[in-house]
Amino acid sequence: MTSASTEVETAPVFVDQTGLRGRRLRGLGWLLGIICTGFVVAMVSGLVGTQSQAPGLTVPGTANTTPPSQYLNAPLPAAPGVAESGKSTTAPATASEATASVTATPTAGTAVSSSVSEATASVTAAPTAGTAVSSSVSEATASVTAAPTAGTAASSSVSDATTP
Amino acid sequence: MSRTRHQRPRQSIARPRRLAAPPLRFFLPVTVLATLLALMVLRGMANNEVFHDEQIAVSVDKGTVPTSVLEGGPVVDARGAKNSKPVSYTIPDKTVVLSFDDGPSAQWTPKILKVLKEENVRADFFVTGSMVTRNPALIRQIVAEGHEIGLHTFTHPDLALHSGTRLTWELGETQLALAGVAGIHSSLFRPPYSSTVDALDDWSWPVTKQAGSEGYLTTFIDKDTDDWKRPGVDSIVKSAMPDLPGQGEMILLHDAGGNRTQTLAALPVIIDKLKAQGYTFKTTGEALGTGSANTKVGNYSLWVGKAFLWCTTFSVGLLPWLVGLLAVVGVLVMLRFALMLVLSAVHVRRTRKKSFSWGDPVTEPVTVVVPAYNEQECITNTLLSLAASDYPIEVIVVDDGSTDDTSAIVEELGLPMVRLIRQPNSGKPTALNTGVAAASYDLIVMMDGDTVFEPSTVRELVQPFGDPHVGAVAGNAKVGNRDTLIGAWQHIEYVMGFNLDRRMYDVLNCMPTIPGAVGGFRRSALEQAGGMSDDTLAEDTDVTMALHRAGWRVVYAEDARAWTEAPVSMKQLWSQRYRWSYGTMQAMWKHRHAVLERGAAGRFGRVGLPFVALFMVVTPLLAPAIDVGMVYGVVFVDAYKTLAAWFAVMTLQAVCAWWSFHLDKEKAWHLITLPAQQVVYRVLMYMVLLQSTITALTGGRLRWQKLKRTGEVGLEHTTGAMSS
Repeated sequence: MTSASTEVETAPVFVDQTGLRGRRLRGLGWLLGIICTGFVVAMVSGLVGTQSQAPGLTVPGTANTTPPSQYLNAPLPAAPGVAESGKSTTAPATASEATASVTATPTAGTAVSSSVSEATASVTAAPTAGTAVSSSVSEATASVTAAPTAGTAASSSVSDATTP
Repeated sequence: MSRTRHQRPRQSIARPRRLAAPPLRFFLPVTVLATLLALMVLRGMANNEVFHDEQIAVSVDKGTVPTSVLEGGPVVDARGAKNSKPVSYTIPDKTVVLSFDDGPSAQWTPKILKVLKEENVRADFFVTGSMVTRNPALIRQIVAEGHEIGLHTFTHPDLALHSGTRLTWELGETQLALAGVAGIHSSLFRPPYSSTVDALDDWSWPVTKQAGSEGYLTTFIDKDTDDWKRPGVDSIVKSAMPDLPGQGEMILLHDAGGNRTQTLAALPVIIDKLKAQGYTFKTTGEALGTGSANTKVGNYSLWVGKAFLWCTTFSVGLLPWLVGLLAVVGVLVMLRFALMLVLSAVHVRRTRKKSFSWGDPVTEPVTVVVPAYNEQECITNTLLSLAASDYPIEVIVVDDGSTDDTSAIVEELGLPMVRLIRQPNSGKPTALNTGVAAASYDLIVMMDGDTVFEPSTVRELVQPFGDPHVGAVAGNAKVGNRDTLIGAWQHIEYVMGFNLDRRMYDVLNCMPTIPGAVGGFRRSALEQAGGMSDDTLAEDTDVTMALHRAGWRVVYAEDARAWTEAPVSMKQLWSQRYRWSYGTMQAMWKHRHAVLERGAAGRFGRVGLPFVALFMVVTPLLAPAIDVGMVYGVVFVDAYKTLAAWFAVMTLQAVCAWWSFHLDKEKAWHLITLPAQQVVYRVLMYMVLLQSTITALTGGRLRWQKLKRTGEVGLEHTTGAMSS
């Protein structure tokens, strides 16, 4: 069916004889297609080729590595001199009993290798420390009662891990 | 009535084929759809819909978790050389780190930030990537006010249940979002659903180890306030207090994920109480002495992040509109199904009633016009079937310049009521007009040269002319060659199209097309409509619309069956449908002014045309977007739910199909191919429609693509149609 001649004469619906409309739309189409392709490439690379490595961060040697269970009633950093003196009196007593460097420094925080035996040693040391402190009785008794609680809490509290 | 055709020469294999880049008309739709999918995924990530799951692992043994970790401080350092021998850091004495998880939320985070500012306290925010992309301004505020950001993954899954790749992806995406939002990366990570270190087990420990190998300090907690359970302000405050006075602690609170009124009320109390006990408030980085754990990113990461954020924001803004549009389309399609079921039932009740008649029985003789162009294989059967007609007819075969033996065969048959008119090749519309001009009678039946009538077809077809308002009648075209898969598909399509669509159109009085294979016309109506025109490639649709505009009724006669041979290859089917859909669009465009006309023409323009435009052009054009949505649903959200929805729609289709088969008294066994038919046809139909739309827009010329089985199919396209 070679009806091209009739079609040219009657100019059927939609047909643009000049082809100008087609050329313009084609240009626009390529532009849109290239934009979309760029977008998709960017998105796919953003979805699969991401950098998951965390930036480097140096933890200084001074960071506290003492397990919480070995916590001794730490001195108040900016507290009055009463607490300071109390600490200094307990220091030798605990050091001799626990045979560890836990309480060698007043801050009681730089013990790197801590084990269960040491932890119990420090817990038992706590009452000693408490009785040794004669200046502030109320504070000492507080630590006596608190220390065993802390010990049991640390070993037995398998807390509910289902937080949102 | 099924019949087979003589074997025809196949497509020439010598046909030259250009091997080139895919033309724009294929490249553009594919890229647009890929963009749409990418946008959907981005939006889904921001709304925490992608890969979302709320499964939580149960607690298991903890044999693999080092004792030092289980009993150590809340910050676990398993980076680099420490990966096999992790170090735990404890929050120093008299120091507290407040940490807020799951945010930032537009509702609660600003209020929490206000409290922290008033108390002059800095805290840690463990944010999820999806919340970051949704609330970029809050992240910038958090950073600007000196707080520290940590990662809490992108989608908040329980990582114990997922692969290492997933963790890497979650971390990377969240860093990307943070870089885009605030220009920072963070070195802190807190696994979702984590708690204190002694709750680590054999499933969750590998997560911490992997996070370490990717360079993260994994930050657990000392004190869980359980504020998300809303236990009361007092309870939150109480559980935030240290076990031992002066002991350092990492407190967990939440600034998102639900009503945080209690958290907000408890926060100042916690801060004041701890301050009174001599505590100082620090961020994790400050407490460890590392300085801020947030690092400014380089230019590359910054811009990649910004691009990610822009695209996400764009998709979050755009997609609700698109989804809304698709929802409207979905509802309309469902309504159409419902309307078809109801109206087809109405039509059947009306026309099958015992007392029903169109008027006085029509007995006047009829002229059957058979345009024929190279129909040597079929014309014999066609004419023999007409000869068996139980109705008085005259047959006019118009040979439209055939180059084969069509004319000779017609003459050889020598049937008494058959007249042969030869004309130089000038197209089907002209051939039909020639036939009409030569017709002796006022009722004219048009059929194709490859169609076979039943003896009663003509009688049934002309009965509606008993009603003087009826200007034309659509018959019931049936697929004869239905034993191949592609034939069976078209059989289903035809049965549904004639028994649902055409009945509905009949009741609504807006039949868009009288099939070229079997249609009856009143001569006066045809003349009023201006005869057949070659303005469009679908002269049947064109003339039907013209008849509507002239005020004639067009009805459907279900018993006027005509058996036609459907295309036997995908290529031929494509070619045929390309012509149909392009022609339909041409016809609609040609008759667009009917929308503003008065009377019957206006009614057709305002009811029929929009209906046809909506369901034959707009809906199929949007169908790919729905399919992309399905791919998104299956791959990224919930495969089971998505497939369930798909099967529900398929079931509805099956019900409609079964109903139409029932109405046509067809055996339903062909329906086993329905699922495949739906998949293949959907794709074929919207590809055809898209291509015709592009051709219409660009104004390329498309010739009358007759289904010549002579190896010429495909070459009929003009340059405008096939190349871009």
